[in-house]
Amino acid sequence: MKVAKHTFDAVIVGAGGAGLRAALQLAEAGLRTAVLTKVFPTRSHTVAAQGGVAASLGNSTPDHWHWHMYDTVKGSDWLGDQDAIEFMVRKANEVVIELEHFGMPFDRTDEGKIYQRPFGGHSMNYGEAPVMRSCAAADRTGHAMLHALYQRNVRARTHFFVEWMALDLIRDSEGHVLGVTALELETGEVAIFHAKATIFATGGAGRIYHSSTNAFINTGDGLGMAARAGIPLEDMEFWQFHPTGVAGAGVLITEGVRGEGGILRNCNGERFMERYAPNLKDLASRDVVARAMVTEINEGRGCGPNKDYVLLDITHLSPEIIMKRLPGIREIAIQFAGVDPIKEPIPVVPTCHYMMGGIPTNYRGQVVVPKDGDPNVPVPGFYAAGECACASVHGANRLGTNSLLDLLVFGKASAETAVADIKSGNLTLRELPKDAAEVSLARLARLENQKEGEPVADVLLELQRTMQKHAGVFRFKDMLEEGVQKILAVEERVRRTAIRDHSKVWNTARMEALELENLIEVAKATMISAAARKESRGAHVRDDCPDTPEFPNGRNDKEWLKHTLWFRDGNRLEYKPVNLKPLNPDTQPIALAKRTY
Amino acid sequence: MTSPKGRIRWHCRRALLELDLIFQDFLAVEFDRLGDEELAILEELLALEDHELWALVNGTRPIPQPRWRAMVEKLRGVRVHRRTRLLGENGPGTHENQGEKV
Repeated sequence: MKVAKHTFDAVIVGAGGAGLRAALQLAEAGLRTAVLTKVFPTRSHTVAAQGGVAASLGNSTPDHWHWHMYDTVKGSDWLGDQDAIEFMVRKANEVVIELEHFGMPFDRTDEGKIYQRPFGGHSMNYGEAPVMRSCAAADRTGHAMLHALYQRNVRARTHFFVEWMALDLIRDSEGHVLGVTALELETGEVAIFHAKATIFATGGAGRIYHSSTNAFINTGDGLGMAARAGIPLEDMEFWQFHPTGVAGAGVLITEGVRGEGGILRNCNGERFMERYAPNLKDLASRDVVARAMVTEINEGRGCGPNKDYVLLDITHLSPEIIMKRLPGIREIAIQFAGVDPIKEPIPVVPTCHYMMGGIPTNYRGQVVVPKDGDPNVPVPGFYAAGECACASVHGANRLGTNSLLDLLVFGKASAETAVADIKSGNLTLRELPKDAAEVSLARLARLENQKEGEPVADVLLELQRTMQKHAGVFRFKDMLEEGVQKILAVEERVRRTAIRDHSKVWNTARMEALELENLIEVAKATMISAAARKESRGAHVRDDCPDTPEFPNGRNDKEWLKHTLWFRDGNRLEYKPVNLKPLNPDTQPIALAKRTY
Repeated sequence: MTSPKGRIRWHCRRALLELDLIFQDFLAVEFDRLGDEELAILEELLALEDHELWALVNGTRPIPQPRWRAMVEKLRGVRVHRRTRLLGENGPGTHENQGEKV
């Protein structure tokens, strides 16, 4: 097969918030910048982000970046790296105001400042009381952000390659990253994108779970590509289950609903969060709320004929507040739960929502791997940002509104680092290996020639059910161990998938088969990392690691205050230390403590 | 002249899970039965922003083009079918996402 070659200064894979923010920085620096994206940029999953972006502007209540840092470290259950967290929270005001200048239509206070609302896990004065820190554009923050960034990129003459799926990372014999191979849907042709810098911004991989708030495009393509190229994946055992997915559908009800006064109730009508989190109640951190909900259900206080969901009640709010502040929520409840939330509470269950782990990076957005005893050596030419990356700012659990902040801060930072590396001459256009496209062509040939094989949809369903059953909100030793064997068996089936449609152009069956090859890498990394981590921390909660005086909340800092690194080769695990030191020597570190709300 | 069907099918991949769920059933139930004129209308709808399209489907926004009505109704019909199937006659059914030990 003939393989065309495109050459750029930088190639970015993914056109959601992180990809567009990175592209803008590169294009405005005068560098030739390509963005590859499976779908039109404004159809990226960032569009779905409703709640807002966190920044300690202090427009609505007093606030301070160090309070935000405290909340984020505590939210992460101390697994977040404090240098990256300090970097993120201190950059927050800058990136939000920048976005305002790009034309982002934030909600306003009466004085014309950006309106801020409270959000789960965010507090003032180190956990004292809820703070108003989330900057939002009604319930369409992600949508507005993506449009502002896309328009700005058009102005900056970013080159968009729309409906192209990146296939594999290209590395040379010294490990430098030289770009990617990619498939154009319209023609079925494979091309090489040769670049000085490659930035992955491919988003999440929530489709590994059967019940997920993620759109179908979230198939972890960047993680699959990185893993196949020998890059480890970090902290993949940590997945956030959003407390309020509509029961039976997975569709998300934003935390903003609880921010505006929504209350969770069990079958007795009890506001049960008062027992689990006396201070923050329904606004406690997501994993705390999700765990409380599942405990209520498991102890027989769930609602409905099968007692398998709880209720999110906003019937006490005035219809005007619901319509004005939470307009999309009413329609979702009506359409997917069959209830009008003005009159009746909404049935909700915890649903897979966000991947805390990802491609390991430092706070500058460089992808880092262990080498010669140093756990964090940058891979030349390779950067990652947003949900596909693990900086790590979310650690074992992410706070709401910190994801949009993450993609703005690290989208920009990764590009700033790439710009500096290119302009200083550190990064040049290195010679492509002769077999640069071989791996990708072999994968496509395998699919093309596979005669006897299973349908992609069947194997995907088995993958998703295995993850849901064996690595869900609550985890059990024997289930995890069994899950490892099962997911390795699913991997064997992924290698033998067959497609009936062999047409060259617009072959969606081929796309789905290629996506499945990425999902399986994410699934293996998750299951194997989870089975190995023998403690409870943040979103990773094990039945055999309960709350004891020696190990509060089941957390074992002595043995497990460390990041997991999963390598595809032999499913090997390594660990690296958590950075407990802030970026600046003058900044007070957030000392280890039990996480309570 | 409409786009290749594969292209239209790919454009049913959306940014919002709400629409993905609707189009998943739509592709399985309705798509192969559509004539050229209907495919052309579907393409017009798919060119809308996700929130805009979702608002048409959930009825919070009036349908601005009369010729879109039948296709929007088809999309709405798929959703009702899905909800009935998921929730059953007695309300929400069992869910697999609590990770209880079985």
